[in-house]
Order: sequence, then C-alpha cells, then structure tokens
Amino acid sequence: MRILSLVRITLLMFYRRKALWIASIPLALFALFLAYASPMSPGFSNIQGLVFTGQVLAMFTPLAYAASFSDLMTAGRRTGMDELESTSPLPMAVIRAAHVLGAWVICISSSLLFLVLIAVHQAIHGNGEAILVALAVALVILSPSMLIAMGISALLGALLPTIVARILAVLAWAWLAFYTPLLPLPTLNGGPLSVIGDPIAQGWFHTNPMYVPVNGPFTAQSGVISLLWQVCIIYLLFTGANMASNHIKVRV
Amino acid sequence: MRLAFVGIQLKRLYRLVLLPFILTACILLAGLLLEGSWSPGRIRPVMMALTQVPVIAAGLSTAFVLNGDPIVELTESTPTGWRKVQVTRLLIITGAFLAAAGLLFIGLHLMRLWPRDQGWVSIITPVGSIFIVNCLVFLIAVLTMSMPTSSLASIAIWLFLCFIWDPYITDPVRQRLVPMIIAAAGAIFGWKICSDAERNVVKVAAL
Repeated sequence: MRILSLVRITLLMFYRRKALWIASIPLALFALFLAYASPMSPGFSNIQGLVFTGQVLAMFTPLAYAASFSDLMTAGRRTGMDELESTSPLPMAVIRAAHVLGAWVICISSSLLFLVLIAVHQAIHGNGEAILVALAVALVILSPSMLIAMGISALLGALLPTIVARILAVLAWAWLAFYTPLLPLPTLNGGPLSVIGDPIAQGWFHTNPMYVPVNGPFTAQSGVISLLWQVCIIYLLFTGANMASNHIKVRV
Repeated sequence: MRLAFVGIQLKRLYRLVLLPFILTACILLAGLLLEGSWSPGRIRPVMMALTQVPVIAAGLSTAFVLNGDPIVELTESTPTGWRKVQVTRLLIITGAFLAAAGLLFIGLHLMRLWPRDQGWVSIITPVGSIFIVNCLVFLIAVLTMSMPTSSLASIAIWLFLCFIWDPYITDPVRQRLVPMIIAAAGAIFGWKICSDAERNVVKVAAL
C-alpha cells in the first residue's frame, strides 16, 4: 500500500510540472513530421507505419530528454528533500525508482498520445489490432530508448557539473541513435545491441529496420536479447546515478 | 556603474563564457588535423556534425544561466531589478557564443571546410542559429523559470532548425532571416513579461 501511494504522489508531483508536458508536445510533433517526411516512411495507414513512427519518436525525442533530466537524481539534494525522504520507512531505492517512474510518464505521454491517435485512425479504417500495436510499440521500443536517455542524463548529471552533463548527454544519445558510414565512429546500430528498437521492430513486428543489420535480418530471439540488454543498461544507469548522487554534496 | 554590473555577472559566468571558445578551438583543431590526411568529401560530414555542437551548447548554456537563481526576490527588491540581471546574462552568453561561432566560421571558411559554403554570406548560418535558439530559450525561461523545461525546449528548437527547417529552406539568407525575426519578436515578448516583478517573485516561490 505504501508503494502504491508513493506512485500516486509521484504521478501527482510530475502532473504539476505542466510546462514540461507542454514543451514535450511540439517535440513529439517535430518527430512525427520527420516520420511523415522521411523517404523511408511507409505512411501512417498500416502497422509498418505505426512501428516506424514509434522508432522515429524513439530516436529524436530522447535527444531533448537527455538534456533535461540531469537533475533527476540530484534535485532533492539541493532542497534537502533527500534527508526528509531518508526518514521514510521505504528504502531510498524505491523512492528514487518512483521519481524515475514519474519522469517516464512525462516523457512517454505526448508520444503515446500521438501513437494512439494514429492507431485510432487505423482502427476506424478497419485495422482493429492497431491500438494494441501502438501500446506495445510504446512499451518495448519507445520506453527503453527514453529510459536510457534519461538514465544517461541522470548519471552524467550526478557525476559532472550540470552544463557539461547536459551537453555530453545529448551528444551521447546522438551517438547511440544516429549512424552514417561517412563518419569513422564505432556504433551499436546494425547489431542486436542497438538501443533504438531495430531488433525488436524487425524481430517482433516484421518491419524494415532503420539501419541494415550487419549479420542478416533480426529474428524474434534478437528482439528478446535486445530488450534484456536495454533493461540491463537502464538498471545500471539508474543504479549508477543513484550511487553517484549519494556521494555528492550540493552542486549548483 | 553599468560596467561594474556587467563585470559582476561576467565573474559569475566566466567558465561558461570560455566554453564556446574552447569548442571553437577543438573544432578548428580537428579541421586542421583532418585537412592534410582526409579528402574533402570525407571531412564534410564530420564538419556538418561538429558545427552543430556549438548550437546545442548555446541553447543549453542559456537555459542554464537564465534559470535556477534562488535570489529573484532579493534582486527585485533592489533598484536593479530581475529583468536587468536576466538580460545581462543573456547578452553575455549570447555574445560569447556568437563571437565564437563567427571565429569558427572564419577559420573553417579559410580552410574551405565549412559545409555548404556559399561565400561570406554563409556566416549567417551559425550566427543565426545561435541567435534564434538563445532568443527563444530566453522567452521560455521567462515564461517557465524551469531549467529542465528550458533545456528540453532548446533541444526541440534546435531539432526543428536542424532537421525540419534547414533541409527544406536552402537559401542561406531566407533560411535564417525569417526565424530570426520570429525569435527576436519572441525575445521582445519575453522582455515585456519579465518586467512584472510580482509575477517573477511568485513564479520562483512556487517552484
């Protein structure tokens, strides 16, 4: 019961940050435009289009979330809120997890809204399973990418001065999400360790991946590996951020 | 009097003022190192990516300097006022980034490495981007007084410019002039709102 009320309070706290919600909507709209205008786009009228849109949202919107959540784990430290929290009967890890949950709800909601709108449009035109696919895409493609971007932001924010952390987090996500053979950089894209949902999109939804897989098309198994890998990274990033934020003093 | 005031703000922000010049130096150094060994066709995409970094840094730095000051109420109770502080910080950080972007353009232009170079008129590309992003971030910082929101918005504006606006409007002057006018209008609007002392104090107290 304590955890449920914690979740309720956290959602309420993040619901009040209306400016962040409002700013997320144009961000998601820009990504939607990119999904629509892309020469690779399969359009918005089928399952392929829905998954493609989800992937474009998962590539572009985390750029901004990587910039904005660097104080996710350290904000309480400035106001002394963490001292108050440490007197509560819940473990600190649970409380910090609730903060992440609240931030995740803000990140996902505008993208989820547009995905569901597209799915409803498809459902009216006879594609009944579209709504389920939209929810699944938001859960297995969009959420891991956003959580990874937020995790990078939170970890760097706990380790480095704010402005350096913000810039580096954006660059780190840009490196993770974008790849061109013209730049001589190593990349995770094209393999099962990609964090923008290529293995899941091709393995589970049978769509064309953003980056051509290096070792043949992705299978359902590579989708499972990819999801587990992303869950591991997310766990490590937030645990690291939590540990790092326990060691710092007030940093402005 | 005025100079001393700018000096105090500069003292507070001097590390951030150095940041754009460090970025410029790093990018120019990368250009110098690559120029001898790589073909221009290979350097071009590298430079296209690297020249976006100052724009991202400008937006995030502006979001950083304009938010998170806990003594708004104190500033409002002095003859200086909060708006003067905000605008001075905005001008310092924007001036530094514009100067560094100008240097970056001149360096890369002389090395013939600037992507989509159309002569000296192309200097409007980096200078304009930074002007647009900073003006709009100022408006959003005044409206929300929240660093996460301003940072998010700065990346959203950059995303719009870099991926949606620039690829479709290719003439360098029209590409920058129209959004610069809109951004300047936004900044003037922000400047007007920022004069409301009561709003500033209540807004920061509500955070």
